[in-house]
Amino acid sequence: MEEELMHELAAGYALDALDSEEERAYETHLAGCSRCQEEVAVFAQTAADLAYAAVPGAGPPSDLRGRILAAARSDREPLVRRPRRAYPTLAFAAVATAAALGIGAWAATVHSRATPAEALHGVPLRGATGSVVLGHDGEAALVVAGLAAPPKGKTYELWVLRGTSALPAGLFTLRGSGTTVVRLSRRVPKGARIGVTVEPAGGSAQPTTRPVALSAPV
Amino acid sequence: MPRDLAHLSDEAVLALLGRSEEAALAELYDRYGGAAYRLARRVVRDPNLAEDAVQDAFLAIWRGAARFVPDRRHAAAWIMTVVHRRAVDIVRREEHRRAKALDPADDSRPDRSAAEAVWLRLERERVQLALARLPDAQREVLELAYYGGFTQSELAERLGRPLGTIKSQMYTALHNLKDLIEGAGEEETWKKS
Repeated sequence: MEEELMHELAAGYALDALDSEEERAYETHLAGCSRCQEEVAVFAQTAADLAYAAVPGAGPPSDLRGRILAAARSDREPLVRRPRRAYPTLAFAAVATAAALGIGAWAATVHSRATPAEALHGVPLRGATGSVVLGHDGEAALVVAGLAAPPKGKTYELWVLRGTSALPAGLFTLRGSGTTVVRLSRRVPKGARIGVTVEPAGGSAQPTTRPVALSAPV
Repeated sequence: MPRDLAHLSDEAVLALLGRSEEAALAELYDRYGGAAYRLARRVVRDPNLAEDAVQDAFLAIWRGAARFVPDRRHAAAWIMTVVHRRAVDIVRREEHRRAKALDPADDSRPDRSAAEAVWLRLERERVQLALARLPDAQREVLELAYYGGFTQSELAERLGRPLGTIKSQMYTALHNLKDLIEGAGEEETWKKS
């Protein structure tokens, strides 16, 4: 999709009005587009204003408050006893980073019923500082710090690598010098690795350079 | 103890929530439960499903509060975003509900305080005024998307407009609404002078 048309989806995203496939595509775009991140944050505010215009009318039944508090109480107990996952700190770092971007945590909370501890695990990266964070359903995000900006006219491209096959999983550029979080545009099967290569702007169908970062098998 | 939280900002309450303080969840519900329920009910059209949406949303907030970066402007918007998403998920699952008329108010209860009721009324009027000033086609797209839970392609079909038109109308509409809401206060000042 053309860049300008992609930006236009910010409104539909803030209103929860994108069709599901387009929503996934837009979230991938959003992870690497600071213009859209700012716009979605502003639009989300306007959408929330619409909430207040909803209607005067019946309020909630008086027992709803108690039911929510009881559910929260019973929700907390198993969390305390759950065994720690392999990379809880990395997962937390990813979520915290996403939260710092102002979008990821928002999206994660909106779309997932799972807590970060149970929903995510991470595998480390070689070649760059960071990790690949995976949801239980194979959705994945790359969290990377300290990569240099790609040369002019080039982009970073993500790959799902399995045996001799390499499937493109999205393009990204860097946001400043801090940590970058990019959601992969395809799910990652068990045992695959995630690679990052430098490609000509617009991306390639197959990798044309050696990976600058490569994950352990997920 | 819960009484002590009433004077805290939303962000401070969310910070306590992130440390699993149950009183903070109660406080947040007291502040936003009413507005959340009315929004959910407008979208899902059914009192029981609206309760489900609100409960799901507050539990998601309970679990996700540790991840929320406090920001004065965004805390309330974040809460309403979570509620709206839950309501839309439910209405898309329960497709037939959309045809149903909105139930009349049956169990109306006053909001927590007179001050809250006044604030909510002012807020509602401010946004409704802004909505009323949008061109009809733009307002229609916004209202059907946000309150009706329709996706862009569903709207294209329902309204008989090309999908590309719906996308750009929705963008323009939300952009204009933002300007109208933000500009409402300034215009008042200008009229007086």
